[in-house]
Amino acid sequence: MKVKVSAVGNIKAFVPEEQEINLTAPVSLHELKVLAGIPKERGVMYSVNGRARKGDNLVADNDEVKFLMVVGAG
Amino acid sequence: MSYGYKDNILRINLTTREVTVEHPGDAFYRQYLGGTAVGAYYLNKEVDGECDALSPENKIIISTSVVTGAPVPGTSRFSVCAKSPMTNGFGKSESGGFFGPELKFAGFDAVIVEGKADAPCYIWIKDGVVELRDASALWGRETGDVQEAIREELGDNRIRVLQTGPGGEKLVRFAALCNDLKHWNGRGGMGAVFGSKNLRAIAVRGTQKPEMKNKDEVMAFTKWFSQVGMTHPDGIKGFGEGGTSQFLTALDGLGILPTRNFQSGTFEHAKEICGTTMNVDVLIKRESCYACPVRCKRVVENKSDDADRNVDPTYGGPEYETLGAMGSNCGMGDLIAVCKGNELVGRFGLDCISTGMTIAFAMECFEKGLITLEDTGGIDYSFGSKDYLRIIESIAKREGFGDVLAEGSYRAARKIGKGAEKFVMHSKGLEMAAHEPRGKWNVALAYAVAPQGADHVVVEHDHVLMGEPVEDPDHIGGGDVFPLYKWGVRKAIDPLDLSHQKIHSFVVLQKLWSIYDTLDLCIFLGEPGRRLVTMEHILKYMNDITGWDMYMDELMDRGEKAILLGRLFNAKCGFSAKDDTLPERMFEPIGGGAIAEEKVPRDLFEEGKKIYYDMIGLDRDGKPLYGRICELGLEELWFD
Repeated sequence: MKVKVSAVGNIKAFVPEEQEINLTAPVSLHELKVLAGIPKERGVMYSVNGRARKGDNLVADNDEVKFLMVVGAG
Repeated sequence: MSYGYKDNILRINLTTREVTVEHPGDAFYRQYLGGTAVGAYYLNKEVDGECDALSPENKIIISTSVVTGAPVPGTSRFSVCAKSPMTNGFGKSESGGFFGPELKFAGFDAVIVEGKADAPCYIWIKDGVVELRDASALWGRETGDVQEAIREELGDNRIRVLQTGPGGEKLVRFAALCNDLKHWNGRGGMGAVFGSKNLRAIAVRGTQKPEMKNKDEVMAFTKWFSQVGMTHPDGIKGFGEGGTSQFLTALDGLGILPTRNFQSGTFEHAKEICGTTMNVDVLIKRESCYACPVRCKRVVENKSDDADRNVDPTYGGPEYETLGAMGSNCGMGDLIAVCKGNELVGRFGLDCISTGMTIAFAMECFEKGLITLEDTGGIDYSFGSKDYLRIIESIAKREGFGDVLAEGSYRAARKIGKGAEKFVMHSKGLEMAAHEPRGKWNVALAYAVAPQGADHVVVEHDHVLMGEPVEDPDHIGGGDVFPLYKWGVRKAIDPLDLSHQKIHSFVVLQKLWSIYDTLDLCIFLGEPGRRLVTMEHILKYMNDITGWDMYMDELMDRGEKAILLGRLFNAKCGFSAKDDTLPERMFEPIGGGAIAEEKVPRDLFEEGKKIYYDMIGLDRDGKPLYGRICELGLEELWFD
């Protein structure tokens, strides 16, 4: 299965360009984050096909995943 | 001898011109700490709940905290409280910059201003000496001019000036206060309260820094912050480089960027007004607050012969809230126009959030045909209007239809009629900030139950705490709930959840953030949103500064105290549970953008509100329980 990943905000330091990742089995968003090159301990938010998802959600074929910087009030 | 605070509270009666200084003593400071709690204490004690917010009977309290003025990053802030002309209830607003520390250096922890001057005036405070000065020559002038004139008149360029602008003089209900022209007590109409008292500004200069009991320990923390916090890859440096403006694309990516008066959560021009574009196109430098090396404040400039495109760096640059409220929510995708709008609200002294939200409300009324070019005197109120800057100016000057909008969207809707009320995005009369509650239900509850109205700085926002917990107390970074384990919050937070567990986390987060407003701290440096400055750090440096031996439970009580004091004042002003609500639109699907079908479920929201009341100690009308008030030592403020 294939998923598209990209990053927003300062997470772009780890994923500068959109990329496609091939997976042999579904993985969680937390695991995908590490596969995309973002350190495990780095806090990020996940958006899958435009919707916020928690990190233990599994990705599906053709999902478009965005890693977003942690955003609070401001 | 006092440490951290001066034990001096300045009281100025503008009607009688009487100036007195009160010394409430150590027990008072330990009980209230400062900031919002001190403001709320005096409001409850001294202001009649039925008084007109713009009358001489209202009082305005400008308060620092016991840590303000210490050389610790994030402690630069101060609070302003009054009965709000927007909500007719508890009003509060915090600001960073340099004014708070300077007030402390000048000898005062807080200033209470009461009455009304018979002519325009400003207050001059220098090293314990207080003078009321004539401001007739300053009245009607823009903020930049006034700051320069005061510094020139008093012969010192290092004077810090807290002022309202022409908007406050004209009693625009959402007029704000600024210090150094770039730092804002934006919300709740504190500038209008200044204007109602014929008070244009408070100028301060001081040279006496507060004593610290364990200075070496405090300096060790500051050194750690510089050496670790500013260099660690997950520390705070990146935030300084991007500032709050970098939030815009992330929120757009999640489908929760308020767009066209909350009719969508995605803006097609988000990239054109985002932080990255701003950094490349118009950012000329970054600035800071007192004792902070992060430098997250934007300063932008655009040189042009066209006055509407020429952006003056004197007024800084737009933060996220400005880009959201005055950008996407007004359908404005032209970054230079938003930067110029930011300059105008700076010149006139208006709250960028309420300005943007009120204009967005009027734009939707125009879109739906409730108001026409005839009503607006020919000014185009379409979303993204070419007349956008004229609209801001007309509000500040109360000219034409701008005079209607100067009352804020809640009151403007009543005047417009024709069902305009349903387009007002507010709680308690205060416009919502640039955060979409339908995609983060902590924010939905916060907008509804916060005593000051629809404020976005009430609890940490949901998405920040949905990460995988990193169970290491020394971890630096952000995005998970591990810092909340000690208060029983052990599950990652789902933004679209209002379960009992979620409400529990809400209560914990509200108390934490209330501590920030009580100690006047910057939310961007600390946990739980950013695991850099922990609550343990805060407790320790507060104890090191003051010489106290306060425990964490006591500190949490102080946060709760400020919340309940705000609620108690609202009860005094006639508020009840029915005022803790959201605009009807929030119970309907967003309707556009990535999560178009999302809404706040009414039944969960109403049930969640009741659980919140029970957990924080409110009765079914939303008034604090007498027992809880007594437990917190506030019984002197109780009323039946």
